[in-house]
Amino acid sequence: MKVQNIVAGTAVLTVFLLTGCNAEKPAHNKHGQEEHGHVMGETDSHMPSAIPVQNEQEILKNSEVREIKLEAYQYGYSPENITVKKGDVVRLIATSRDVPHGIFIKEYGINFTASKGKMEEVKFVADKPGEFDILCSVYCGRGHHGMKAKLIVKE
Amino acid sequence: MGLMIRDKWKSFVKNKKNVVILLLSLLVAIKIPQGGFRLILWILGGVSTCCLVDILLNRVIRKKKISLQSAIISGFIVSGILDYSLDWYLLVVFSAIAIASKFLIRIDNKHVFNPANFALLIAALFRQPLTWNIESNTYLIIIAGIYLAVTLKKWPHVLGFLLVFSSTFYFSGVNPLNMISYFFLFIMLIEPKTSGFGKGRGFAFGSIAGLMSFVMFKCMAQIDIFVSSLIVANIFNALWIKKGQKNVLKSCH
Repeated sequence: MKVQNIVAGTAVLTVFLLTGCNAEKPAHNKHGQEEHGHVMGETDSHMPSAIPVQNEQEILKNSEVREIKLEAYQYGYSPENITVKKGDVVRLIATSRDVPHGIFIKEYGINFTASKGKMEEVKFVADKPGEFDILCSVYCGRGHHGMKAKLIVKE
Repeated sequence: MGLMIRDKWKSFVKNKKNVVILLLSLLVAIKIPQGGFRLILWILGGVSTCCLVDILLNRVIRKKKISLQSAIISGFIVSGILDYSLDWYLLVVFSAIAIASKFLIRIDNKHVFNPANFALLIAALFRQPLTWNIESNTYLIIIAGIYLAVTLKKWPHVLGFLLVFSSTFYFSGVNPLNMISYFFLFIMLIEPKTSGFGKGRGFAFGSIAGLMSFVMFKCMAQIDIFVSSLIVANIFNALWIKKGQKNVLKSCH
């Protein structure tokens, strides 16, 4: 393999990295919901809508909008437990006290980064009852593996 | 009897891959009370996928039998860092990617990237959470890690990384002692086949990884800072080898 091949490989990796950088955007999706059909975001109107705007409006009419502020820090979240009712539209506003942290809720297809001094938000319909782990998906230090909070969706 | 056990232990420890496997097993065991049965199955799944793919590819491509220790280590690292709540097929895919990268991305018959790290980069790019569950006991990692770094003569890598990582993070107002991953430093960074040898090269390798960690932390923290920095350092190592070979050829002519 020649050096040119390595350079080409590096270029491919750079493209991958840039793609990864853009992968944060779905958390800001304006009208629609994300691939899992639960997330409704704020700013970017280029993202495809999995659920029509009409449906979103219906959901908003029939459900209560819960605004929840979540602060991430090394190595935990405040509040530790978030409790909502099934059917609530949850507006999750996250920030960080120190280094960047991830907000990952597998069951709701949520994964975004909260940074210090910035408010990142995501909207979703809490349509699955149960207890769901909120995990940090961005390496934040030695205690990263134990960083956890809970989303509790009551019937 | 006692002597026999001691001899067996000595020959076991002589092979550093055995020490790494023992350390990884202990780290997983420490995490079991939190991770439960699913974590055990997850780790076993990762290790067995890596072993199966390694056996298969070696039989098909190289047509030879191999030791499975490297595949076991890769399996532990992929499954130990990738979050164990993810879907099973993702574990299989990323474990297979780890081993396949050893066969597919090669320069002069040597693989370029740390296999597990390459798979984890792909996972991070596809927004899969890397929760580093295997980093369950820092003290154990540091003790075993110092032993490995010294016996494998990889301390220049460690020093280079520590120096650049600590200074850059410290001057940007972040406590480097809180941010550093000792698992990355002592297990992943010093992987013998992809990190190169020699004091100067080792120090440069570690420094590049340290610097890239900081750059990634500032620009793209959502893509794991350690995983991405090691990829860059691996590329540097491959280029260094290539350059060295060219110089040897020139001097021969």
